[in-house]
Amino acid sequence: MIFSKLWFRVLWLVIIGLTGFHAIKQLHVETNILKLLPQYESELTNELMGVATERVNKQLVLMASAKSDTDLKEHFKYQLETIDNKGLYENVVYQIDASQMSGLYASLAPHRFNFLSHDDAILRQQEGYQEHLLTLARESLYGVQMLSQEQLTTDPLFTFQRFMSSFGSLNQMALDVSEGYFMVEQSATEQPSHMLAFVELASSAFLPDNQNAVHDDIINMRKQLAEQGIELKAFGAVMYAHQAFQYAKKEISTVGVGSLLAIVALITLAFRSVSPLLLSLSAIALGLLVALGVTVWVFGAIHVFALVFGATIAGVSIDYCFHYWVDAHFHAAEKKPFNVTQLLPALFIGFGSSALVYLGFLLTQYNVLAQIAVFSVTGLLAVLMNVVCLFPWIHKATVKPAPKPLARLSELVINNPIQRLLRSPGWVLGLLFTAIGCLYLIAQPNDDVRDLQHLSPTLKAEEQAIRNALDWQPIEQYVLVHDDSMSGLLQTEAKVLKMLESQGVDVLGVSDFIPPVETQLLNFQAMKATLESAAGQQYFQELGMAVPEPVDFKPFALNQITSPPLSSLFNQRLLGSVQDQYGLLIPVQQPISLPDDPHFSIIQQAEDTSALFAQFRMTATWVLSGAVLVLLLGLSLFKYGFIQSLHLVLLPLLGGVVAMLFAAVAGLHLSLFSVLAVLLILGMGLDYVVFLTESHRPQTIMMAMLLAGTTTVLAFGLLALSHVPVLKSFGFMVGVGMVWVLMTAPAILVWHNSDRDDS
Amino acid sequence: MKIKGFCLLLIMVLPLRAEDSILVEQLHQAYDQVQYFEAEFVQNKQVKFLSKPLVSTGVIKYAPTHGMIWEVVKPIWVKTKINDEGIFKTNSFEQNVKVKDVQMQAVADILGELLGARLDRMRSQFELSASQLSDDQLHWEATLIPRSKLIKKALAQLHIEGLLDDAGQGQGISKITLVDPNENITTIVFSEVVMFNEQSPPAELLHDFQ
Repeated sequence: MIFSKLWFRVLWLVIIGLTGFHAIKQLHVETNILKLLPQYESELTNELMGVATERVNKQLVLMASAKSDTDLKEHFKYQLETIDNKGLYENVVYQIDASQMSGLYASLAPHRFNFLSHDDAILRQQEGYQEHLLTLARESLYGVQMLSQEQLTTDPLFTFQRFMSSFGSLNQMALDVSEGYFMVEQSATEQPSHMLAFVELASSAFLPDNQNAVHDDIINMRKQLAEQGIELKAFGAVMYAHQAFQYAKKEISTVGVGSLLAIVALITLAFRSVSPLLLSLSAIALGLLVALGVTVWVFGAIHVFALVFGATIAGVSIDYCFHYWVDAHFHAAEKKPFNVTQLLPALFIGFGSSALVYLGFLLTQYNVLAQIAVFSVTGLLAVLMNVVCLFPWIHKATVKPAPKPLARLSELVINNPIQRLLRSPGWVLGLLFTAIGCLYLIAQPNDDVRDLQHLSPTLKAEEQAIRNALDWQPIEQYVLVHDDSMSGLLQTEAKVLKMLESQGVDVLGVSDFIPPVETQLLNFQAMKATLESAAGQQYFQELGMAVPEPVDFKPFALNQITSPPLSSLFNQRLLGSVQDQYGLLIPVQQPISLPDDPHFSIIQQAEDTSALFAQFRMTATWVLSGAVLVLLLGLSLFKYGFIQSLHLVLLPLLGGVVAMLFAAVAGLHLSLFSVLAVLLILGMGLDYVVFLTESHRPQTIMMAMLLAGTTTVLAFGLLALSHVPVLKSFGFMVGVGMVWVLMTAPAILVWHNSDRDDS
Repeated sequence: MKIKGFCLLLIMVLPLRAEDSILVEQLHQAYDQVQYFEAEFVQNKQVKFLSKPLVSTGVIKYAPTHGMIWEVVKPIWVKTKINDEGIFKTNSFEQNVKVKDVQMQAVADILGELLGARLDRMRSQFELSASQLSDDQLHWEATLIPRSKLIKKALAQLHIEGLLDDAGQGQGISKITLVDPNENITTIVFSEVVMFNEQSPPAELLHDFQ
């Protein structure tokens, strides 16, 4: 047997060493929740949305509130200046940047007749616009605003003034910057006053070091400001990511430690020796290390979500250890020589069926599930290799007899009344269809991606408080526009804005501020015509000033949009250039529809992702059906008869379906991950029925199954305590499903009896 | 657009200590319980560059529960209503159209605060340069200087004058003068004041606010 050859064992140790070294050196744990989301089909869309989400994710919004404006400004400003010097943040903005405003004015003013505010641009396209523009000019002349020579000579119709004022429309927040600071717009009697700061992280919000540093800053600021009677609220992806990472860490340790304690207790009780315990733990630890190394090597990083799921293979892979130890134990008790070769068919059929199910995850083409698949398959294989290669090599000690209660318990389980009912494949099939029918009637799948995660209620409340103060609605829908030139981009955007306007959507785009050159020329010509018209001449006569000298049209170069000061104004809209395509976003609040076009598309990340999850749920259901058929076919052709194979496959499948039914009755979250839980129950359950079928000593195998099943149920059962709805449901289902499989698997022994009868 | 004062800062606000300010005292006397205020105004804008001033006349109406109406009657007609719903403009081209007018909003906020004798929010923006009662005790005035550099760029000085009746009771603001850094001057003179204090105004006076 190859596993007992020295060279193979050494080679295996080398592989463990190399993958372990790679895991330690290259480990990168991804905590970005958005990386959990499935990707769009178009690579360009993915890349442009990647740019947009990275920018948004780097933003942190701080709101300080106090009764006194003066205290608020003084102390909050001091705290902001302190964090600004740390290098952790790219920008800390809490007041109007006068130099930016001057720069903006300086770059646009030479082309002032090229630009019209959105309302004036609409006016320009109407009949009699000249008279209307002059009326608006007179309203400004005789209105409440103060006048100056510069205003009257450079912008006599006040159109450029209206244009410059309209830049505030880019921002959807109710901010009052009349004193220079970003104060929340509110009436004089409203208390407390709120001051805002917009902070941009210098690097990713999903680096744990950044998250910790930002969290510490917020805590410090909160403490210091509280001493001055100022309350600080904050929200941003970095805050949610920090919280998610902390939850994940806690849950990994809960699941990990829980599984570990259960394993320790069970092995110590069962074998009354520390060597099986130490060897099993070492085998699993090395297996996890190999899994980590391979996953990081294949994907470049591992998502924390995949790591949490992956941690559960500790509970699954202990099955192999238990089978080894129990078999070794009985051989020792009977004073017969033990050879691991006897175990190989059952172990490899068991591993193969689990691996088949995990590999089914790959068919969903969902990156995180692919990571789980690779982690789990390599982890299980590594533990199996440790068991078959290293255990017989290292462990030579005699095993003590098993405790009598365990043997009695396994006898009881083998003969339990439930399994008696399921000895007939017909009954199993009937029950399966009944359970599926019930599921069809009561199960309510929930594919909404927003319900998958658990967000801290405190953080959500802070975000809501800031949004309420600013009258700032979250945007969940965008139109993504792209083109190979800036001019084309702005023209396409203008076209989309017109379509949106016809649907009653009131939103301004970049092209409303910096229009394509053709539109600039039309604006310029309209302004010139108005100034030179008879009505225009009369206007200047009334003022007692000369008509301004005509100027030549000078187009404003569109590439200036991508550099300061304009770039900072359009930072949340323009996405730069990706794959030689310029991209921009138009935020939209209302439901819209747009025709299919290669240059624009509606992006509803939450809805799109939910739809993809629904699609993946359907795919996973087909994968499940396919796996059942493949298993049925494979086992029928190569190993057992059709009816026996049917019985063998349907028993664990029934466990999965019953578990899903219980989850539905309990009102737990049902989604793609519930189908994956059924796949997992099927994979692990097949281990049990195959081991029982292959064994000549069912009581011995049942004992190993009881030990293994208990650890599995404990490992996944602990996931049911998770804060994350999807993990909770997954843990519950796998726990319930595996208990069901444990109780019903002995029904397969009916084939032993019939084989015996046959012989 | 919701950002106020983005490019121009026609803002007149008061920062003073109530106990030592004639302005605060007079505003409180005149407007503390005001339920309705109406006055005709004459606005005179003197721009150094122009040979003649730009003069307009109109009516201002204010009711704390309904908002404000600023109606220019001559030489053009435009009526602007400002309330919690926003700013609505009516002129020869359009009827009650919602507009985004930061200057008007700022002025309405400030006039609302003056007429409502609520000065808390304004205290940080201006400092009192001088205030005095006339010898005949029938006239008071106060000069305010902006504190912020940003406001100073648009407004060098704000001068408010008011009248008292024979019994020394405040009749409120009679004239507002704004001086910009280039010494261009805008004055707004109020006359024909109709004011209801403590009691609700007749319904027909509020009809315009609907």
